[in-house]
Amino acid sequence: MSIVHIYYGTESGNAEMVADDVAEVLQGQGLQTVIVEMADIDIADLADIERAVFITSTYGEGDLPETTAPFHDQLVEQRPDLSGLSFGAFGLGDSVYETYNNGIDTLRSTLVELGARQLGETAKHDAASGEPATDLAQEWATTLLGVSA
Amino acid sequence: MTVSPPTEDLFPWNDEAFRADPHPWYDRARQIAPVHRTGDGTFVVLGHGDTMHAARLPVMSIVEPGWAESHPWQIFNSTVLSLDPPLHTRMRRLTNRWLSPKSAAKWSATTSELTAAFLDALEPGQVVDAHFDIGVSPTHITMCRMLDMPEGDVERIFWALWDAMLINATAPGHEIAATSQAGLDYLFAETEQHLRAKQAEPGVGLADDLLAAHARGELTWREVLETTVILYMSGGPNPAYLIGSAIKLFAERPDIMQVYRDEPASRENIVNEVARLNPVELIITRFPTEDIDIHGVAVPAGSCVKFPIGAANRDPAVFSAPHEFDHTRSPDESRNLTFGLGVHSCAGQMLARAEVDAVLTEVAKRYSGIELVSSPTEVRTDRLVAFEHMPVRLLP
Repeated sequence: MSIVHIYYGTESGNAEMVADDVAEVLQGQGLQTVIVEMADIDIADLADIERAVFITSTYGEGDLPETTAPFHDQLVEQRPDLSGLSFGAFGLGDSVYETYNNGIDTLRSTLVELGARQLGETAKHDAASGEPATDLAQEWATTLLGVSA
Repeated sequence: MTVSPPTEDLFPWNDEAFRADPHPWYDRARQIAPVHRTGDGTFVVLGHGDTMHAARLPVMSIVEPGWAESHPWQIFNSTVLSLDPPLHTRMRRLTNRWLSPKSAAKWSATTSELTAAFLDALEPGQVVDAHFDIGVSPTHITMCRMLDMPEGDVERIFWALWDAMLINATAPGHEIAATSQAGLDYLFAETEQHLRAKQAEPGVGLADDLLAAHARGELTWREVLETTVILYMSGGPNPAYLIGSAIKLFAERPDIMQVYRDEPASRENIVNEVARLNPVELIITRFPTEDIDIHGVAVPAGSCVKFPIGAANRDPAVFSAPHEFDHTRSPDESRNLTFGLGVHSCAGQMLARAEVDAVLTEVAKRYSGIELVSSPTEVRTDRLVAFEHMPVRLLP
């Protein structure tokens, strides 16, 4: 069985917590998971990955957070062929900002542009809701791979 | 909307009664208008929604305009406390990894161990200072472990910070500058001495990360020093006020202490509700760099805008029975401003929340109740509050 790679990019660490939540759910479904911070991804390896989950927050005025930005820059520069990749997308943001969840939208469009296929809907957690990101992460992850079946 | 006539008595910042409990004033002012302009041209915003929206606008600068007088707190001008993005972002990212939720969970285990060791050494019936012994001490030492620095004279550091922050009151008075400067001098001298020692003998803490960045030429010495002082001085006092407030609540409401012990799922909500009702820093101050509109009131660029946290946290438009403790509030009714908001929200809030939970859990699981031996004493300005003493007896 293939491994599901869970990649997170974060500013204050909340996306890292969501990565743990998603991993827990997928492991509960009998899947193997590997959690990697986006800053540590080797772009050359990405073309061989079949299933992944990308989790990122949005920083400031719609920008990518500290550890998503360098990864995204490399994707844009190196343009790897990602046609073998299926991925889930989870964003963290705050609807008080007009640029609510821009971060995951930016990343998602670049991945699709490079040939990757998105699984299910993009999950968007809204910090303004007051609901814990954990709840949405668990609910979303439960059906994520069912969508691809 | 029209602005209320300039008036001073709605917000008597230096009045003892106001400082002790500003909520009757906030409630009265809110009934008159949601936004006020005081006699000196300062705008005061009372609503939760207005604060949530306006205080985080990118044009709301934390940098004081040119008209502001010089004061001792400008010693932190190279830090997150005094910078706007993008300069703020660069400094904030120095500590992100150390203060993430995951790291906070890890370091709060240290707080639990320290608290457990203190409690287990107590004689039956022994009176403890819930403010200092289980508030300041374990949280300050946890921060020192994270920094990998000696804990120093914990009580002296606590009061040095209190003195230093007196200058941030709205009208501190001329004699306060010297008191504030003396507190800062002590904190800076202590911290610099520890940092120099670490340069000779590096460790594995957050302070070592900063020193390594300095060695690589990425941070100036001043940036390393100022940021380390902030962490070193604030690791104890801020969580300590929440711990003290929760202990006081447990003494007055044994039912809440029982819920804390028996229902772990409620703990996060209880800590959050304690935080809502008991902010430590009391006012967010910003200076718009452009003319803006807050609830229909025109606020010119360069104005001083105050957002009293206590007013937003108890806005009846958001919180039913706003002055009452109720940890069962819905998520919509629990979002408060005690840890600030936007880019300047408290960098250490995940650690503080985890530490408060660590201490309260250790207390709740060992004791059936808490008795206040005498009324807790507090020190207050309009900007800041701390407990002074809280003698309690922990009941078996």
